[in-house]
Amino acid sequence: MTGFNNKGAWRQIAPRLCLFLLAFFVIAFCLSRPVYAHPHAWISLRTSVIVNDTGEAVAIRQHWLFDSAYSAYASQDFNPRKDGKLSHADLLKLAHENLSNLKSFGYFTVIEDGNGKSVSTGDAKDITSLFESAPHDLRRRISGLLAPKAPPSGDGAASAQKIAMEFTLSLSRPIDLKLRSATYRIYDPTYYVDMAHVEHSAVSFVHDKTGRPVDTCHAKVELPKVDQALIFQAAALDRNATAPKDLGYYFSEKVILSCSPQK
Amino acid sequence: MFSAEIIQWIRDGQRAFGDLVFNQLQSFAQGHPFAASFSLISAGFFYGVAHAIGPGHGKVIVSSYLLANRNSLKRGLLIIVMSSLLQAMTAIALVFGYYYALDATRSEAEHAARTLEIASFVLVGCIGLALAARGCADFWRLAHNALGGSHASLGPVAPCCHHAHLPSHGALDQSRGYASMVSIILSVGIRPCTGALMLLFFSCIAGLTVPGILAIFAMAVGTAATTGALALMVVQSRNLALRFVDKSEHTLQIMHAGLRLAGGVIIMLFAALFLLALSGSEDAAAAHTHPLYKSLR
Repeated sequence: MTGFNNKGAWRQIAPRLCLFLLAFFVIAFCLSRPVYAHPHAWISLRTSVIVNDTGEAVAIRQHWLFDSAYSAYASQDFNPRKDGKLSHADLLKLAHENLSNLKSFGYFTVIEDGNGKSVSTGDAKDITSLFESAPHDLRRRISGLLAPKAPPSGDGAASAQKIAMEFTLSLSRPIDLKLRSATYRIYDPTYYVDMAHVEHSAVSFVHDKTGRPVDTCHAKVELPKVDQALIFQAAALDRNATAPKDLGYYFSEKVILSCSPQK
Repeated sequence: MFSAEIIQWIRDGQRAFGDLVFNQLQSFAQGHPFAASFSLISAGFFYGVAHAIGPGHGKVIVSSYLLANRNSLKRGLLIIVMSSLLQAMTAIALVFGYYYALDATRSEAEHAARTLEIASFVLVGCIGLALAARGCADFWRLAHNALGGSHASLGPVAPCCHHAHLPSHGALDQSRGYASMVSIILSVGIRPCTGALMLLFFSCIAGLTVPGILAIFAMAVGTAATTGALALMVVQSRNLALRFVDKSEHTLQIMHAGLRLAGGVIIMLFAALFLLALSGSEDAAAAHTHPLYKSLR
């Protein structure tokens, strides 16, 4: 009988096999980390706070500039021709559809008055959308960090065709900005999309009647203090994974609005 | 803990990087179509090489097949090349046949890819089951022969069980071999790689349709290269292991039966693991429930 002999053979071969398989699995799993982490799209924000004569905020006009990839995919997917070209009417239709989808999410906008009470908004109105030839975001805040006195861009460097949409949200009640400062945040709670005021002075104040800039008001964009653990949590999320509720809040900027009382 | 500035810097970099890469490639494609195509194709190749290092792509099934079958390196390499090419063709069929020709939406195409993925893992599981069953049958036959209670129906049994003839070298094995090869190629190949789909969509948008298709095939070549290297490693280590064992026919037969059984079980485990992971992650179409993606067809 060769049974014992075979057992001996197995005893010899088994450790090697196990070792090999173990090494294989470890290597395979280490190298298969998810490549596509949250966020997947970026929106550069510009907001105008519309202020009335008595220094009260009555509405917020928002300018969302989508990144190149989103713009390209939208151009490809949001028309029946699939030719990557959107007409002006297509763009407007996309903006309207996007905003009606965003309605139940409060347009990703959370506004609080000076007492920390939230202020709701009406439906988006005065919707416009167009392709914008925008400079790369790289030369904005980053160049500001690298060389704080870098000259403003506009040297004719590569620019991209990006989709921009604009809309106005009127506040359900005016917020007095003179006594206490109000705040707002614009963010995607799932952090699928990263939204930020990237440009310098991306927040402005506009008079509701004259449309002129209001220089007695001031905005401060407070950058989020993001915990390292949260970054890893976001980075571990696959393209199709659902983020924990309100992950985006921790990555959101807080814009603080105030007006001096003299006017 | 990083400071807020550093984190902001990383976020801005991330934001700028995507734009930069996308725009550069797009303008590159318009200004220098030849160079852009070349870089896209070589990127496809290296993506394939790197991508195949992770699990999936039939590496487990091919390695197990190689472990379980003797003198099968050539066949293994053939399986690897054919299944990689089939994978590339599935991705191309999904994008050009389904998305463009049949006018499906991108989320529908991604959904179809997911369905194919599930089908692929189910098929892989079946192959594992078949392999394990074969291993069991081999064991049973060997045990039967060893106990001396041989039946005439099992074929001529030599006086000494060292020469017990299993139908492992016959025509049966040959045809069985081709059948298993085809089933492995099909089960691995019908699963389109999501990376390949993304690459194709991207190159179509950047106006590099034909180079995109070539890049997908380059990716298949890259995948096959990595998997082939792994197959060589598997065969080498198998041969190394065999050097330490007594080379009698009986021992080898028992070993191969054992490897078949173990390989089958490993394949089944992997199929189950991948299916479990798939059911855990949401449908690819779920990404399209985001308010800003809902309207994109």
